[in-house]
Amino acid sequence: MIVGEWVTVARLADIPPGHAARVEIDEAPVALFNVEGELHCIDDTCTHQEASLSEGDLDPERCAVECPLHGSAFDLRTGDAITLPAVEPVRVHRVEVTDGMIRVALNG
Amino acid sequence: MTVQARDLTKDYKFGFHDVDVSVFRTEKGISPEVVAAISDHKQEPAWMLRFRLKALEHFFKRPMPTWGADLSGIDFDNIYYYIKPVEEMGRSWDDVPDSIRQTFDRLGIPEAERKFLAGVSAQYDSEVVYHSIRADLEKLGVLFSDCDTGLRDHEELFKRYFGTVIPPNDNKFAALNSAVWSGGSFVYVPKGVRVEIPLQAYFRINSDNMGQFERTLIIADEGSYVHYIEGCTAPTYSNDSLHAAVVEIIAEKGAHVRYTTIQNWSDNVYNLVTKRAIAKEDATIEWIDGNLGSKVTMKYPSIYLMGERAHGEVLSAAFAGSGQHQDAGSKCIHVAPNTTSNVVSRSISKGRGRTSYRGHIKVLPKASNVKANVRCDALLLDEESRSDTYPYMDIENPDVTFGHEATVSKVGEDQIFYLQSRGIDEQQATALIVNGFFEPFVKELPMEYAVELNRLLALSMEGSIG
Amino acid sequence: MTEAATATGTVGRESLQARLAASPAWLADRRTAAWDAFAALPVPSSSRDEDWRRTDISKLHLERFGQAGPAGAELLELGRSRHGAALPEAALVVSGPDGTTAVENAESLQAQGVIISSLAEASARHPELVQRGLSRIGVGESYFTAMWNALWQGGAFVYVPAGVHAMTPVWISHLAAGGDAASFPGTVVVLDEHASLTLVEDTVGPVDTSPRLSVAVTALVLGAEARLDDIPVQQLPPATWHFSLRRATCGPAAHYRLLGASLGAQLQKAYWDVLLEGRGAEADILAVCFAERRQHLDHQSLQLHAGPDTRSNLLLKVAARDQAQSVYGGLIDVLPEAIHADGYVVNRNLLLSHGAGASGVPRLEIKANDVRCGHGTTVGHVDDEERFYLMARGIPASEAERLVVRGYFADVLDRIPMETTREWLVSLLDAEIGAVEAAPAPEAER
Repeated sequence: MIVGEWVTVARLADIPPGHAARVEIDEAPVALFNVEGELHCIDDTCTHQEASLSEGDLDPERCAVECPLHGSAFDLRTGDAITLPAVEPVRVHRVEVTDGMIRVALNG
Repeated sequence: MTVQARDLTKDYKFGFHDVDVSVFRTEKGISPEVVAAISDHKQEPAWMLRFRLKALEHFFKRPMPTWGADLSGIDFDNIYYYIKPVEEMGRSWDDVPDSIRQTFDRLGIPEAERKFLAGVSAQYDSEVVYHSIRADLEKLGVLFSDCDTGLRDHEELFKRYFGTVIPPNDNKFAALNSAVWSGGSFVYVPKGVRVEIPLQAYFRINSDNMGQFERTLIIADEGSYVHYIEGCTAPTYSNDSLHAAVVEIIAEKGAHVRYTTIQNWSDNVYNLVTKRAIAKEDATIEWIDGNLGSKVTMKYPSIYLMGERAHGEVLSAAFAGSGQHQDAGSKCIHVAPNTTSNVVSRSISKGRGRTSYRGHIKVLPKASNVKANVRCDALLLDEESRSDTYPYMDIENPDVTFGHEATVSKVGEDQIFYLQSRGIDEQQATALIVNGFFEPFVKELPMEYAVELNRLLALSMEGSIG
Repeated sequence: MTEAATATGTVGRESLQARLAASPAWLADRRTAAWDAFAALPVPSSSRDEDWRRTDISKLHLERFGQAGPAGAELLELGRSRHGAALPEAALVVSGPDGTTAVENAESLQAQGVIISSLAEASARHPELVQRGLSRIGVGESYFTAMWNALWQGGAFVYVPAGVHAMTPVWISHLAAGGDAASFPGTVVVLDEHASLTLVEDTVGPVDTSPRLSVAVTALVLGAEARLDDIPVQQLPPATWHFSLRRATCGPAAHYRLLGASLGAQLQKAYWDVLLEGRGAEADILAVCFAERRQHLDHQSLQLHAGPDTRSNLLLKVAARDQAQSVYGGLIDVLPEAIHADGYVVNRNLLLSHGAGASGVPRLEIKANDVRCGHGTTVGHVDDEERFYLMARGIPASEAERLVVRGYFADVLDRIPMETTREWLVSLLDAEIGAVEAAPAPEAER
């Protein structure tokens, strides 16, 4: 799959506000988050250690997710690691919702 | 296609307002009620209560570590997590173990100080000293108080940094601390300010604040300098068997922070500490870490070198006598290029004591032109003692100069022989050699600490202590 | 029960049955016990097992590896030609991936009383000796060792009787399986008191890109005052998964010397254990490792000091370029009775490109006090000055790199006593270093 191609991954109804889901696009795991109606998509794997961010804690105030393993927080809009022990950002991917369907385009 | 979504929000429907929280303050064991009672008593903002409760959940979920020292003796249910009932507090001088009293004598500790250290007196008469220093600091704009006050009086500043270096589920004991923390120091040094006198936790301590779950937050703004000292060399008797402290340090651009610890907890204490610092561009962090006491210490002061040209130093000394296990070390994570780190660790084991060095040097792919060095030396004084070294290194950038060296040996017979031939008996000779071995560490301490430490080491060599 | 245990690939019950049918009773029992252990063991995991933390084998699918057929003519010729170039005077054991073994040029050794044969044959003819050789290899001690214990075939066996100094070296050629197949090379060497031997173990396969699996065990037992020079060279095909255990047990005053080279395979997990059990036993382990492209080469060493006055020294020199990763884990374990233990381990890493990485955990566990132990690790790169010096003399970048790496490995390779073997290994390394994958390296700035 060419990086940048739009892929339909889920129905909006599957991911209500405050929920997250993990999907694989071409074997690459990404996490989708619904923060008070707004959809965000980042790499699912924490950059600190092998853990799935879709299983973390959502912090709607900071628009961030906290990794379940050691608590590193990532900004869902920029991908930046805002707390240690993670120091490297996750990739942020483009998301759009059309006719109740969620589509994602991976960023390289 | 249907995807399985998870609900990530936590709704604290716990209506603690309706519950009589005073009941929970003086109960043993930990629960959301106890945590809520702590927060309520301190009248904390809602975000701090949420932080504590989330941390508590992590604490419950997290298994005990499978590595490191033997922690099977910790009984989580048998601890007061906040306030002890009055009957439990205060101890009569007669209850203080002989060994401790003798040490005080030999070290020449003043009377009032003794009582405090032994847990007999609840106040340490250093209030006067503290107040005068405080006035000077206020003129500079330096904030130095306990964390409760820091949160209350400087919430925005506090919130910006709190929990960013050590998140609540970093490890099981950081989670515990994050749930029930109390006391500890809050330090903020404004831009360009140099605090020439070392700030000592000692100054403003009383036993309410000298807690098992201290939480310290030090923020050194751009270009500032501060030296913070925690603990003391004299043996500190604690009724509490578990000390799980957290220390977070942020050195902004060009700042320099030195954090000195000398820990000499009594031999019933499990001392499990998470200490971590962030060094931004051109900043320097120094951890001077001395571990003399406790039954078990697990502590790995860490430095994240996040900005270019940041520098980290860890100088650590550990002494393990019979029945003690000092499991200490350091972590230096090079995130930015042109950063440097240096770790020196010296440890001595005696009797059935055991020292372990556990360290991690990591150089991330973008960190080019890094120089990192680790040197650990361990001395085994007799046949029963034990020493281990577990150094980890992950180097992901080739533009690095990294070296690590460790040795384990016993006191050289030729050294002893030489000293004996000059009329010094074997015990004194060993003491001299031990002093020399710890010299790189001792010389970094303020004088009164150095003097006490040397005396203490001499006593330990005699075998009259531990 | 691991999934693979029921699979029909080579790691499966059918294979086991075939091996059992061909084994003497004692060996069949051992294989069965090993299989049961293997079936109960979980696959090593990076998240759970400390010594696998940096080596992830989650993409290893045992079912895709079938039975190995006999080695083709080309491969046999490759194995032989290496022996001919490096050490023609040595006795030769050619051990094929399907268990076929041939022994050549061994008459003078046999006249001395040395036993040299396939491991399979020795298991039938000299069971006590083979059992002695395998006595320190636990039947189910780990996932891959249990697999090997159940499924090895062919292999090589050497026994040197007391007081005999083997007059020629022994060269064992372990040939890799064909594409999508697995081999289980095995070598067992037993030296009685005062015996001595030089051994070269060459594990090799063709340079093609088919994936293969290789699970190997080499067990070496040295009696009192025995001496063994052990030269293992690993140059497996580029897409091989290679798991190996090499364990030497030393009796009193025995001296074990390993001079090794790890060059091939896609992923290697090699355990080198030295057990110094007798008083005064000594071991020197020196090895070079060159990793390139996306190779992942992992060495785990153990220097166990279990007797008094023992000495061990390990030096592992790694050079890595492209995106290769080197992992090293080592332990010097000194037991309370090992007074006067002298143990040292040094791991040097030279990183030649961005993307290459090295990680290491050299550990010390010291339970006796009258000892002298230490370890050192360095990670560095080729100095800009060195590079500039060479290029200023008209030496192109790639050649300059070859010279630097050759110089870097020299002190280990120089220790190989046989000149022809040393030169052969140097030329192997030169070829590895010289071979450039894609476009030539861009001109460096001056």
